[in-house]
Amino acid sequence: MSKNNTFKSVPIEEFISESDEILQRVQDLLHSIENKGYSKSVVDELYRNLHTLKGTSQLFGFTQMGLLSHSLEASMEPLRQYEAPISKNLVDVFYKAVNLLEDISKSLKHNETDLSFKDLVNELIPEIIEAAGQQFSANYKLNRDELNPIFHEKELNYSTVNEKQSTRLGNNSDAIAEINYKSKDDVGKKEASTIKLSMNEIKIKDNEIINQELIVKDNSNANISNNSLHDATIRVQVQLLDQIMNLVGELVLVRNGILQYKNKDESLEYANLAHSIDEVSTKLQFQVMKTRMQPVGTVVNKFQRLVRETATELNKKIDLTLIGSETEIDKTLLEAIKDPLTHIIRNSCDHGIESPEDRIKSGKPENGHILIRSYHEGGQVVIEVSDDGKGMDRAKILAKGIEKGLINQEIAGRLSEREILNLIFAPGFSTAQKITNVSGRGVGMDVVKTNIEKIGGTVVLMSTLGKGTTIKLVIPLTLAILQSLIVKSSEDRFAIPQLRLVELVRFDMSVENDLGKVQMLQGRPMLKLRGDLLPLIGLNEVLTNATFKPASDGVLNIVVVNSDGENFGLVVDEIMETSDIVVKPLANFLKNESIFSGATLLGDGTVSLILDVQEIAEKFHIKPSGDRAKASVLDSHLLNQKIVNSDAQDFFIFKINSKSIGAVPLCLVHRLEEFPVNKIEVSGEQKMVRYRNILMPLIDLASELKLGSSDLSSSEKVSIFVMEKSNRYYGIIVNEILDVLFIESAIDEAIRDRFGILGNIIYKEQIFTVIDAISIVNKFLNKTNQVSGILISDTKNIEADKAKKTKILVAEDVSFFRRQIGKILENEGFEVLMAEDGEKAIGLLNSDHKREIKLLLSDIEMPNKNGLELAREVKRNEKLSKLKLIALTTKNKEADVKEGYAAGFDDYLEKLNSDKLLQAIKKQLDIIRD
Amino acid sequence: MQQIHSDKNDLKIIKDKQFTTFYISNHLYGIDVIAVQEVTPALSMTKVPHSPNYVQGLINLRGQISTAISLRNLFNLDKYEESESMNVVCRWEENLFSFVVDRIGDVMNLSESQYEEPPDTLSEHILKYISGVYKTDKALVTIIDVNKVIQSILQIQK
Repeated sequence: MSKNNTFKSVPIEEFISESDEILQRVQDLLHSIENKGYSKSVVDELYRNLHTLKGTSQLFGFTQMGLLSHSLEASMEPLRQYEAPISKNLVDVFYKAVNLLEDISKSLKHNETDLSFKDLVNELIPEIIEAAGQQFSANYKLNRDELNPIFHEKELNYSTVNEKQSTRLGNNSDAIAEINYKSKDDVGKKEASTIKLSMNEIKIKDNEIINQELIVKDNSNANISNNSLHDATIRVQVQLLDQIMNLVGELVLVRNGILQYKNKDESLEYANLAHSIDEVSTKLQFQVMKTRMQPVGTVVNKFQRLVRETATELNKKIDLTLIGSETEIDKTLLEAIKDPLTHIIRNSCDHGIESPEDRIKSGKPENGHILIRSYHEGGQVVIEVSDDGKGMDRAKILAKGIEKGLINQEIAGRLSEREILNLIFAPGFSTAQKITNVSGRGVGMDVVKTNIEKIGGTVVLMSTLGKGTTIKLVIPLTLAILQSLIVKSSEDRFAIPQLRLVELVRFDMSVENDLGKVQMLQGRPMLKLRGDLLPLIGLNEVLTNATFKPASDGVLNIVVVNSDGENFGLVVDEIMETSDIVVKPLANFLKNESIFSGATLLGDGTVSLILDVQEIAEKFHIKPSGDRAKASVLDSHLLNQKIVNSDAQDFFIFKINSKSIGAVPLCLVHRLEEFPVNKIEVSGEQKMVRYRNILMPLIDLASELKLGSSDLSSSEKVSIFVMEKSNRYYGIIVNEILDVLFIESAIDEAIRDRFGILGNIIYKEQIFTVIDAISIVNKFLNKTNQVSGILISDTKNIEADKAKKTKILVAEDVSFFRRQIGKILENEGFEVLMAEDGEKAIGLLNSDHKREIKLLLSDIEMPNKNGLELAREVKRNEKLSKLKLIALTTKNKEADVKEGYAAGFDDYLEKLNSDKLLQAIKKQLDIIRD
Repeated sequence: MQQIHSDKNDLKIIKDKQFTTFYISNHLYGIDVIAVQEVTPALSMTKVPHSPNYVQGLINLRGQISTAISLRNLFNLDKYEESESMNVVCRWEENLFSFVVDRIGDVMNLSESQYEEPPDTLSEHILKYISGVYKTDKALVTIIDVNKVIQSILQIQK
């Protein structure tokens, strides 16, 4: 064979890529026949393709490939004349043959001949003949002998083209040689194709290879070799297109520079020229972009086979439908999504679509259905893969998440729908019961997500249990040139891709705004914009780690951007212009986990960094708006992986006066309100305000705490938090509403120097004074009771005499709650015993020989025997059979409640709702009495 | 021009190498000319927030973006007056790096005979980037191995 590989390589490469195309077409055609049945045009095209493949492979000396294609071609012969349904057997054999041809084609990239496949080919050809024979004898009652001619008549006629002959054809390198293929074909028409090659290529191909004189003439309008001069297409190296793209990019930059000067220069002619160059370069940019565009179908069509094979492997029946495969996308991006899409499809087949039996059982059609839908939307390409399989089981996902150590039980209870589904994208996750061959391992959805995000796209997951799952990939049209918005932070300019841009908002903080207002939540400023809460992040904050505090009288320039489906506002110093920028990559080491996705050159030549909106969102933990309260929980736990003190909770933070900051458990707060000062009415000295058609008394917190009284004369508004007790409302006046924070630390009771204070709590190095709101309200009630004797008397839930002497045991490890609950109970006249954990509670119960303890109020999360264990132990103890058990906890998921009842609790309540608590107690105690 | 020593040393002349030399904090350093794409005067720099301290910023080099590296910071040298700055531009695969230096020296032909192993007196920090030292009549030229520098920068981030 030829020793000089390089000369050989280019034509062979083209041959290989053409063959691949032909084989892909063949598959598509086969699939069409399989599904839609016989069609003359399809059969003809199939025949032609096989014919071409046979011819070209033989020309290049790939005998095995030639023989195999020849065989296939021959078996199609009768079909061209007689319409007939095609047997599954034949189709299967065809697919087998196509697979083998593809393998041969692949191997030709490295090997010079295909002779290594001789055995395989020799095995397969009889199979083909057999299948075809069966098909036609079945249909046409042709016997074997009559069929034989079909297969044996076509013989390749070889003759040698030796040096002399080739010289005879002329030394002129432009001379075209006709290579003839003879065929002794009696059945059917005489088929032939002409393959033209330039003289040089023939010579180069080494005499030995061309030992076949192939004369092939074509009568039909078949495509000649795709390399021919007649096609309207031309092959271009992708690399060349890349270079052209780069140059166009440079041109765009220069154009931007020219446009900048256009504004400075007065000359009309200059302006016209600048305008013209702008138009031309825009068109050029657009056209060049188009050269790189390829239809999504190029990748997606291949999935027919994947689905077919996978379905067979798994004994399932799956149909694949493609919609919108002509949607175009940049070639490099298409390459990048190929693997992720493959993985998604495999997953659908493997984990999504159920077995035919299961499907019938659930009333679904036996055949599972996968739909790949591609379309353009808003400057992006969207590819949706939907299946009608069993959907995603949240419970299973949660269980797997816990098993893999990604979350613990506690967090699992707090996760939102979306967060649960997104667990699938966490590294290290895989719900496969067993690792099947199909989906493999370690390739996981996290790799899919990373790959898609790498090219600037996003992955969205939607699923309904029992119905199916849809995975949506959203990908930018192209990477090289980006439309963007230029913004300023101090003196530096940055670019934000338009793809991520939602809207621009200019917000004047000082003006009373119908548009919305800025509030703090979880330590972050939020803008209430048209009903939605928008987290605000300062660009300065992002760049320098300085904290962002919007001045109360400034103007905010907000760029609302979108990341992962969630909007947030980036506050910048100045918004400048929109610009088409050329994206230049940053050095690798600068790109990792960086808030910058690249760099660009602005019109005046300055280097400007491009902001990666997604990274910024991640850094600042922007979560879906419905879950903002849960956000900090998930983060802190995923970071620390420690068991949470489940009694930690939300606190409402406010200013007591200008100096001190107070905190109150949020569960005690009914509502936060603000009133104009002039709405406050006074009765005697008692301030009150009309609230929901009744008069609500206002309690001045500052004066209750003896910290001076709130000076309402200087402000226009009064801020209060409303507490509810026995269906009445009480407003506590505070100086300023600050925030709602989730605080885990325990209340430090060391410093309690006056009534109304429970202690202090620390949050991020700030100290808040925890206010004993319940006592304050109680005190107010008592005061008024004493004064009026009649007026606002609190109807006690439980009659005093009944309550007397009834002992209630409270098991609770957090002293704050112990005290709170104790107070509520003592207020009602109960005698309260306290235990800090389950062990101590058991101890007290055991030593209660007179059985005076009638009721146990217990927390669930406690050390040394938790509430559930305590309940179970109580239930096992005959002596305690009359003891009533009420659970009092912050864990209130359905599962938790069920567990509680199962353990033996008679009632299961949320902490610190005093009315509910008292009602429940009454119910349990009445049961006792009765 | 080097003096030609005895025959044995004839071969060594062939091994003369050319180096681009420059000063950082008044010390003379050199890089093999082959590694240097060009030398340019100071260009306006865009800072990259949150980048390592030896990344001084990004520079526009005739339409290409080059990452400016401060060798002074990389080598942990003392701060010196940075009155004049020059850029020594080197290419590594698809990345352009500009090493910011104080001023440029001559291009020197240096021969093996002048070569010495790097002295122990150099700090750990620099030692890993140095491939050797050449002694001339006037000065000591410390040769920086550009590959080592760039690989080290790229790897630090991995």
